[in-house]
Amino acid sequence: MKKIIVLLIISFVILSLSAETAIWSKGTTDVLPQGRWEVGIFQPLSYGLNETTELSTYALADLVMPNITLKKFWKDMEGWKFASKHSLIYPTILLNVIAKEGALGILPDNSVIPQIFVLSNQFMLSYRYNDYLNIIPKIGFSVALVSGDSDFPTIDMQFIYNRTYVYHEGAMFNIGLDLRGNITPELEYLIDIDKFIMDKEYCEFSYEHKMMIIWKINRRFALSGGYKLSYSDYPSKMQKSTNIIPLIDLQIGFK
Amino acid sequence: MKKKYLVLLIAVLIVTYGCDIFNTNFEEMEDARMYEAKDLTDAPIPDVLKIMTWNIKFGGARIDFFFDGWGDEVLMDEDVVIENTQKIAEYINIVQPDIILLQELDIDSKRSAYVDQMQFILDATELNYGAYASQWKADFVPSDGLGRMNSGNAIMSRWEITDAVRIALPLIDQDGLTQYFYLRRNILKTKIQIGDNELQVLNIHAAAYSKDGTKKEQIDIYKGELDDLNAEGLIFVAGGDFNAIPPNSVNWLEEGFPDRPDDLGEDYEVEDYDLTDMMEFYEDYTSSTWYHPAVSLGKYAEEEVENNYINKCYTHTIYIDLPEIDWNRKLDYLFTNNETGWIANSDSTHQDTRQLSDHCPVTVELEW
Repeated sequence: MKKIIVLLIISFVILSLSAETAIWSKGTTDVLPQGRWEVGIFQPLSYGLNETTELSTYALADLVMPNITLKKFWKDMEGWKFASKHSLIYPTILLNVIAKEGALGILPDNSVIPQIFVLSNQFMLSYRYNDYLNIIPKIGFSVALVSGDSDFPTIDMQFIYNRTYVYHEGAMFNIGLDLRGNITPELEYLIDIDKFIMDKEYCEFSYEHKMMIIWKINRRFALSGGYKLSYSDYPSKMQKSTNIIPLIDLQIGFK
Repeated sequence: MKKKYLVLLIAVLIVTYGCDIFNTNFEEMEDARMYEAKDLTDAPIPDVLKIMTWNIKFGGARIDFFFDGWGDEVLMDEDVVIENTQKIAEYINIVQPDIILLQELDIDSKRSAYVDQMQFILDATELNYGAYASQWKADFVPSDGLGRMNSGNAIMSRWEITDAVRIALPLIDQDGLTQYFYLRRNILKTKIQIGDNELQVLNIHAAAYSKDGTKKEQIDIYKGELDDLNAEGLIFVAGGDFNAIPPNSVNWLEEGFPDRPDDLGEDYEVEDYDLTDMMEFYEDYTSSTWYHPAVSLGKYAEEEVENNYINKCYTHTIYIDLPEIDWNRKLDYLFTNNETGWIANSDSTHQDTRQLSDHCPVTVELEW
């Protein structure tokens, strides 16, 4: 066991010798340059901690759902960049807030919400084919550590059901592929597809697809727009499996 | 510049009125959802039709739900829903109606574990065909933990339903957001082919918590639909849960009902029952068009004693946790315009179903 730990540490140190930073780099293997902040209306507040590490949090959500994500760039291996993201989320407060009578009672008032800590881990490779195409395969898993009595229903809404199901099942896996590249020096495209692998009793599949155009106006502002599509099973057999929502976001960067 | 403002205005209108992202809205008139039993049962042409109306409370039996005004239950487990719905189907099999009008039947609701009670009852009884009209539909109701909802009125028949439409009724006066997610009452209007003849069958579940006269408006529209059919010379049976008491009721003040919980929530207060709500259906009160009731006002009056609240014609009680309280008001009715009316004394108010729903079924027979 000690040998494994030592080998892991050595591997991490070796991998950490290289660095790859870039601004407006959400969803890529790159991290923010040291000292740079970025935030969007729907994007987390991110900070370049050093040349290989980025910290981020959804600041507004922190009040009711404390969350933090560490993104680490590990290594550039002959054109393949490797990075990982590790998130810790505590949704218990939020679940208690939305378990109420009346308006915004997403869960029944008599729900029993346990202590839940979700550890989400995502591993990404990135291969730069040329300026116009980066291929980014992803794989990940989430684990929910649940403590105490639990009796609350699933939230059967698109884009939420698959993300909160882990509170009930304890684990969830996901795989995905991003394609992104430059259209012009200022314009970038992103096309992705993700599959959430969940409990087969109810939800044999859950796919999500996103397409976005990102306009990197300058170092201070970036504007993005597109759509997100979900194709999923739900506990209701009649529930429409395909849903689409528009995406638009303004991001601001500092330094 | 004017064009710019016009575009902006249209955009605002689309966002404000055009976006039905939770799919709660209906057209003024639209086709009903049609069903068929998994295995069809032989249905010879009868001499007598037995008609039933029953508000089945979505298989919730006597669970104290929060929307009853005092309970705290919101969602049922699947095994509970199936057990309760099975008991309803078993009762239907005992009574053997040929046509049944159901209210508060869920087909795709989180609260009833997404059990399609329409298909369940068709498959578990000798009824072959069904038509369904949603009364409460939303992809997600973000209130009280309700979640997905699809509940409504149904008509089931041994014989094929050849046409079925949902006719929208006026909404009760509420703020826009509440109204968007709230119940949308309707008339389910069907045609059933029985041998060489066609029978019109209509079902309604009128507003329960109306304080603005909407319930009366809904009942009047229903009566108007019946008058139109009658004017065309078409034979109908019509009924449902009118949430209204007979015009000769003695016990009729809301606060006077013995099953009214002390802590009944304000949202669940109903307007005082108005004795005029049902008047126009009865010969005794109107000089214009009236119809034959399954339970005559005379029969109803025979047992109606002030402050007694015992009457074999009562069909509803809201609160079960008081053993001394039985059914204490009549809200469920059946009418026909058949020239000779119903078969005399064929009506029955099935008060032995107290554990199955907060309403009991009413049946009556029609010569065919």
